[in-house]
Amino acid sequence: MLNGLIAEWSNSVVSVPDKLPLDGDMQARARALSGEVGPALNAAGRRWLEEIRAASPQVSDLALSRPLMARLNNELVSWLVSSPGAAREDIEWRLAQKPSFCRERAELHQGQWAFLVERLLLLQPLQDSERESAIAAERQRLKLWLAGGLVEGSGPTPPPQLQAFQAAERQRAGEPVYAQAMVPWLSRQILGERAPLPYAGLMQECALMQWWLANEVQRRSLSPQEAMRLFRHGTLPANENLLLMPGAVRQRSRTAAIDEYPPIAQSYEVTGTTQFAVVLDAAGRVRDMQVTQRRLEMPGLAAGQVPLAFEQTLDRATFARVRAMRFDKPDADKLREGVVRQEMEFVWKLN
Amino acid sequence: MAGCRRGAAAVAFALSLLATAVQAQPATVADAGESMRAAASLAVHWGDFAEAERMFKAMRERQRRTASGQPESTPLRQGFEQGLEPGRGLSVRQAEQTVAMTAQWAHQHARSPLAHVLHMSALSDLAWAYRGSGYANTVPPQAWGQFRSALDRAAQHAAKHADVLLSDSLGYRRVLFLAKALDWDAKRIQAIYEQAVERFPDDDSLHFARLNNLLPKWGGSARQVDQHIEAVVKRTQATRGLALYAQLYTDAAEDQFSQALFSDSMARWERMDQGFVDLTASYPHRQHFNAWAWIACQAQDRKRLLELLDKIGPEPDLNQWGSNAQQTHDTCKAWAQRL
Repeated sequence: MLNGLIAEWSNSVVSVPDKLPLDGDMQARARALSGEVGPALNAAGRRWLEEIRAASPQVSDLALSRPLMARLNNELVSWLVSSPGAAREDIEWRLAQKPSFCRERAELHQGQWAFLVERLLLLQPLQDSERESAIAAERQRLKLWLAGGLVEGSGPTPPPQLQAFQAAERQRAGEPVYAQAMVPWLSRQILGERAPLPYAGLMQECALMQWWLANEVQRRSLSPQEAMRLFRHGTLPANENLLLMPGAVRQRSRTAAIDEYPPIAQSYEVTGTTQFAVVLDAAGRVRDMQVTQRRLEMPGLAAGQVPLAFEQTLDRATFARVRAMRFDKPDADKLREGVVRQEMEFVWKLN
Repeated sequence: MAGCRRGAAAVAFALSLLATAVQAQPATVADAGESMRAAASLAVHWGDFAEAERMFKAMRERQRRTASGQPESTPLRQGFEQGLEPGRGLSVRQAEQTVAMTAQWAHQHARSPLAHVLHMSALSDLAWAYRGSGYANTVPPQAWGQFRSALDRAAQHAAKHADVLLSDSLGYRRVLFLAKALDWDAKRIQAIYEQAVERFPDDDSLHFARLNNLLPKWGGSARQVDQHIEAVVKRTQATRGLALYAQLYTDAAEDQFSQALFSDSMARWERMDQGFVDLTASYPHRQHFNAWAWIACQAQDRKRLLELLDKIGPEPDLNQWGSNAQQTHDTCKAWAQRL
């Protein structure tokens, strides 16, 4: 059973769908790379399983399935957010801004996950020697990952998704936020008749990230490396979508965040604290909310690993809870430029 | 009479020739124009201006027509405009974003007529977002100023970039719509149109844009519509017969006259019928047979309608049957088949 889980997970990384949004050369590369990486992924998965077994020798295979899935998922996210090397970030940032990328990526994942193909989709505009070196770097990154050489720390704070979403909300409210405009597709989602939802699916998250970063890179003079770190974290699929089947997730990701403790985090026994800052106006309305620090734990991870995949889940839950909270009007003498900042934290503790 | 017989023989000959062509083209196969329209819309919808420019340049170099006989510029332009998300429900904030986006594009690609055309379209969409799509008496007085101001911005942009804008017929077409919205003098608008067709005689969309200007709902009249259509026929008859007579009056029916084409306008069925014969001789596209059938039904020409319904088969193209299309088609069919 556990080997079946590993094989299924491995397939979500290396599967090559029949209908590929790739040119002939990239299709051939996708198939070759998939053939190379598939067995190595399965081997790594079995190695991680042995590590989990060694840490809990008395536990049955059935009980090990959860920590194994948690580990596999966390490893996947570690790879997804990892950099192909500082020297390549300039090119990656240029590619990440390609207007059709978000649509093509979302279409690619509609039937099944295909993360390796997604990487090649990003690299597709490169030609000749540029493409050759990009694929070589990709192969190197995969090797490093499977050899245990990718150790990702906690994701960026404040989380890019929440920053981008709140900037979009301000734009909707008519505040002059950014100079660079939204593309019509995103503008329809954010500024159309219906109020937008946070974490509203792969396509919106990605398009939102393109818009937000295009502006923030200029505003904050972000380096390509910084921009790409935010982009990779900001475009991660919802954790529930990774752990469940893609179709089952859409409703869940919209409702789970309102719950006190996201069911999926409970089920994977994720515990710890999320610290955040809330900016209130004189009436006690939340003007801004940002996660500032996370200290999370989860069974199944190796020493030094953080539950990277679950950070987004609990960030989202924190955001939803803060939005549902009612705050007292702050003392007038504490207001600075009409607002006051409060530091708070939520503790995620299983009964 | 002899002329009529010759006409009937020509129709029969054309229909017999076309039967093969129509049957050879499955109803479900998308027209090349349809795929161009979709690709163009997608490119603009996602802000992929490099792709939009590539498509636009390729179209200009090819100078081809689609299977239905439209210049390729028509579905491409429709796609680009659709990609801007115009229409009912467009909020002012959305329209402002599109204006900002296209302004940036036009600034970066100052030599691109497409960039200027779409920026003007975006400003026009902004004007309509302020105004709303209802009748004039539903528009708040303050909104008229904003409506006018957005259109003035479009006019200023057109004046500033006239050399580039008017290097393509799309630019003229956009100016014709703008001129009407700003209520420019009729002679001035007609002069722009004359200049446009002089420079771009193959772009039919200019005739349709001018037709739209002249519809009674925009302050024109049935007589002005007829004068325009007859003038177009005079200009094009040597090569296209009465094809544009049929197409322009069909367009007028879609836009304004609907089922009252033959009572409220000066359209003449014999000329439309001959126009469809001429049109389908060159472009035997199912779209035209469906439009022809819709008009034949209005003209109560049962024989022609039966021929066309037979040709169309069980899957009509409901885009060509006016409003309430399915019902119209079914009613016409039932009437035609009544003994």
